Amino acid sequence: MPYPYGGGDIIYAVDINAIYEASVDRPACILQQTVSQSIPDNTTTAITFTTETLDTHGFHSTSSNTTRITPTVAGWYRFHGVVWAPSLGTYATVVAGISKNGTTQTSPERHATPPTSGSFTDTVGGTYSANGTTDYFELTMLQDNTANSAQNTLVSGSNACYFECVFERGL
Amino acid sequence: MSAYTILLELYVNGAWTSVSDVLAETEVQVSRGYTDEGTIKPSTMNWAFLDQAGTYDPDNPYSPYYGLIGRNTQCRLSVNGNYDFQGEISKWTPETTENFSYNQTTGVATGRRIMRVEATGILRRIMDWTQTVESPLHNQIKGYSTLTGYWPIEGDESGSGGETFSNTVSGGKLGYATSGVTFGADDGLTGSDAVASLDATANYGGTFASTSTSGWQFSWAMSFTDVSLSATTYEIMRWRTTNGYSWSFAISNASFTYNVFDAGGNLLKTNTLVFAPQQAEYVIFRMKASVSGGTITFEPAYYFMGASVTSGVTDTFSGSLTRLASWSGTGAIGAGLKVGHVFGLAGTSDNLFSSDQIQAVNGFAGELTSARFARICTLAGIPYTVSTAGTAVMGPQRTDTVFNQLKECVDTEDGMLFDRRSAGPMIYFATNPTVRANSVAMALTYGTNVGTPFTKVIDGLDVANTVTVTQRDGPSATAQLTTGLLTASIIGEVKETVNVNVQDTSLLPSLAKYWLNRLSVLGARYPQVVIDIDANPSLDATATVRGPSDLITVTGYREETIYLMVIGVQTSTGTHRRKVTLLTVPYDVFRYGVYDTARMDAQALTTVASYGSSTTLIRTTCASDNFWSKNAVPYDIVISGERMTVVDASSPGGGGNDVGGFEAGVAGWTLTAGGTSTLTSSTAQKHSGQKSALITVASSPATVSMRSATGSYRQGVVAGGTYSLVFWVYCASVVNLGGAINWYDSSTAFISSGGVTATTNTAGVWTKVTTSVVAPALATQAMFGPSVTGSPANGTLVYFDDVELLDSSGTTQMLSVTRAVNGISKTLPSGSEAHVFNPGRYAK
Repeated sequence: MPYPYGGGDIIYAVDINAIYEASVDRPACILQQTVSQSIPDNTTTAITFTTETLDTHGFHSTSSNTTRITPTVAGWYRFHGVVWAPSLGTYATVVAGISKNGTTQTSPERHATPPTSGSFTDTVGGTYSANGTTDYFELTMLQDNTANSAQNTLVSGSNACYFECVFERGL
Repeated sequence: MSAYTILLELYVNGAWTSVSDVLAETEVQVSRGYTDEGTIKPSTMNWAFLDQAGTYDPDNPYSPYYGLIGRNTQCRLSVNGNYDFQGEISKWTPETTENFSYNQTTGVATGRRIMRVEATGILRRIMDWTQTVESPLHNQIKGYSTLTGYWPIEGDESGSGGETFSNTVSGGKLGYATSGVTFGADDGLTGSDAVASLDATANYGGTFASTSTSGWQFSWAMSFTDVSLSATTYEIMRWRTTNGYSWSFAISNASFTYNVFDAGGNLLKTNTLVFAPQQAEYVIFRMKASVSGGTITFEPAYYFMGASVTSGVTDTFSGSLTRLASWSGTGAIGAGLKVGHVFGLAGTSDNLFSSDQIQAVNGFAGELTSARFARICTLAGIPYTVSTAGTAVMGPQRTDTVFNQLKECVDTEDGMLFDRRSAGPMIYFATNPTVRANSVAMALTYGTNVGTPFTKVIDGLDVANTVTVTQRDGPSATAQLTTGLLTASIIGEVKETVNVNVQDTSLLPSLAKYWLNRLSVLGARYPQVVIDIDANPSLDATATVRGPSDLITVTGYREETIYLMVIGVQTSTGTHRRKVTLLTVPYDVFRYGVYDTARMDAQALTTVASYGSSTTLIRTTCASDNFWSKNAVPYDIVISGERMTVVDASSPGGGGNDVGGFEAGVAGWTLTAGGTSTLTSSTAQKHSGQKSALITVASSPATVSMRSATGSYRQGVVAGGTYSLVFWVYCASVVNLGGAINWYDSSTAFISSGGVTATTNTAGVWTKVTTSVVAPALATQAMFGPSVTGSPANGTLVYFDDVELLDSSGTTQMLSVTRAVNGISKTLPSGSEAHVFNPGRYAK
């Protein structure tokens, strides 16, 4: 790969700032759901987050569009999400997904078949690009049960929906 | 005028002999180091003897020095006790006037005869050597004192005669080979020159020298990467001892078998180990055998080139052990087998898998240039000195002449190699200046101690805009200048090639960029600096000891100090005349950034308007990651050739007609409420820079307010624009805070006032207060500032810093500067680039 710098190049502030942004100030956002949310049956629904564990660069708002992570620095980001569904023996499907600007993205992480008892989690993750201004990402959940009933997400201590992203590299 | 004590000596008949008193009336000329960049040259000294009697004619039988002086007679010169030169005489040239005659009997001469003499440093001899430094593996193996046979099978073996190959052991028998052996075919063994390749019909072998020692070791290198291996096991090497025993190694695609047979062919010992022969390009095999009583202990082992560990086992059997007799191998395992460096040792004391041996196998790849240089000098017996550890990590060492090996170190390092001027180590390797804390070795002043000529040259010499760095026997990388005044579109393409030998070839693009930077320094050159010692005798000792890679400065010629790196030194010395000339190149590219010392530059920031020569508030463009420091003031920048000192800088988006950092004091700010409270500049506390504004509360008024004053300190705004009033506050106790923005129209008529949300600080900590506001309709100016509310106690000290009204774009920044620091005073055109003065650079 071509190296951008050689000995004798002038040290510019932008170079050091780029190193700073990719190291000690690497953008990251971690959200964990603290208020349970009703998920309609068989409807892909974005998860809301009204508190932030970490939000270094103002990617998330706890008051507006609380489902969204909107990276303010352009680049490729690694996303990871976990959805928690309460105990129910009649699930046909519980699926976590990540959407970009409302469109579900392909994810290398896949879900397992729901258990017939006990709470259920599904994970999803992938690396996606963000333009640093308008692109936003959401953690979605789809639950389908034989009673066709809405189900609340589980919020029980550390057992709660979780959504995070970390800056990987520039565009 | 000073008199100089010249001591010129020749080494005659085992002693240094002064010949200073017979110098002709000419000056002694010495040249050390480089005369142009990149060309290694031996030092030289030229002088003339007044030689009426032919005393200094080596060809004169009547001379007392006849037979004692001549070619390569050692000589040295010192001036006032400091050595200027040491070396060997390379040329004697007698000159006579037309009517010259000399009567040997009477000693009467007519006319005049002089002997011109030229001497050179030891580098001349080194550069002329054709002797090669053999490959690292060859050098390592031949260093074993107990060799009973060493067949390198390396390089061109045509000199060995027919289908034979050389044995380096004195008196040892040549190796033999049938057809099917191609010498010098494969250079994949890193620490070796190319070794032989075999086809399936090849047979080859050798005979060991006789020794009385029964224990022995046997080793060789092989490559299987081009062989089509299978599960079938093939013998790859067999050797015999004088008692008739045969030992063999055999391999398949997954195993390694060793066998021992007695004289009758009966199998005495066998074992098979898991072994992947193609996991490395070359494998070094070794068998070590010793005997105690009737038990033979043997240790088959192997090393995969490039690995960090060796492998092997220890085994025993009952029998007898005698010395090595012969060895043989075949190509039966398949075409493409490579072999080299077959050797045997008497005894088992040498460790054939020592770290030295392993490094030799790998060609000493990973050595710093300085370490390689030192090792080669040691091998060649050359006394040397190295300045500091090098910057570059070298690739494998190959066979080449001593000088080429040393030059490869110098070129890879971008260092300098030159003769030393004084006794002791003969040559000096100055590593790249970017690795040294280069202090100024000599500070000169034009008009005081810089002699003539001192001229600047703006030319294309030593300039390149396309640089290719080529790895020895490997790839290359090219860097091309795409911006500035030296691009190919302006001066035409000027190419330069640099040959290196680095361990990591992925660094070649970076190295190409380094060399491009190195060869595209914009600005003038100052090829030489003459120091007139007669006029400045105090400089003699300092000037004499200057050498290549020293940093010198010249002030008083240009507005700025000129930084130069010495590449060569020339002296001219007579009894009453001495001149030192330093040959120099620009130093800029070596001004590497040092943490906490060097300044980073801002990139492509320009003035947003034209500014007169006395304007001290200058606005430039900026960006979120590319802006001027508020905290590091004062620092110098250069705009359009004028150097100025930044004493204060606003935040991006800040600074109307003021900066708000109070680095220049509190002029322009005033207390609009607070009775007898005072507003002063303070260094006791500061949020950025060195100073802040201090309100000292008197008599506990209800509110104390400081505002950017009327007049020129009112900040320009745009109606409808979003602004943030930001200030930082420090107070040892908690105080109530507020503030205001007063909006004015273009006729300075008051429109309205916006307030700052009431808040408090954290005691003893700098606290930031931010209020976002929108400029009302018709607003074109604003006056703003913080307030201390809630009747602060008498004597309360409240510090404010970085009080700013920031626009939301943040794309411009105001600088408060001191103009014409370098004496240049001019109008600054709009769009002029602004740069830090003498910015730090990346080190090599």
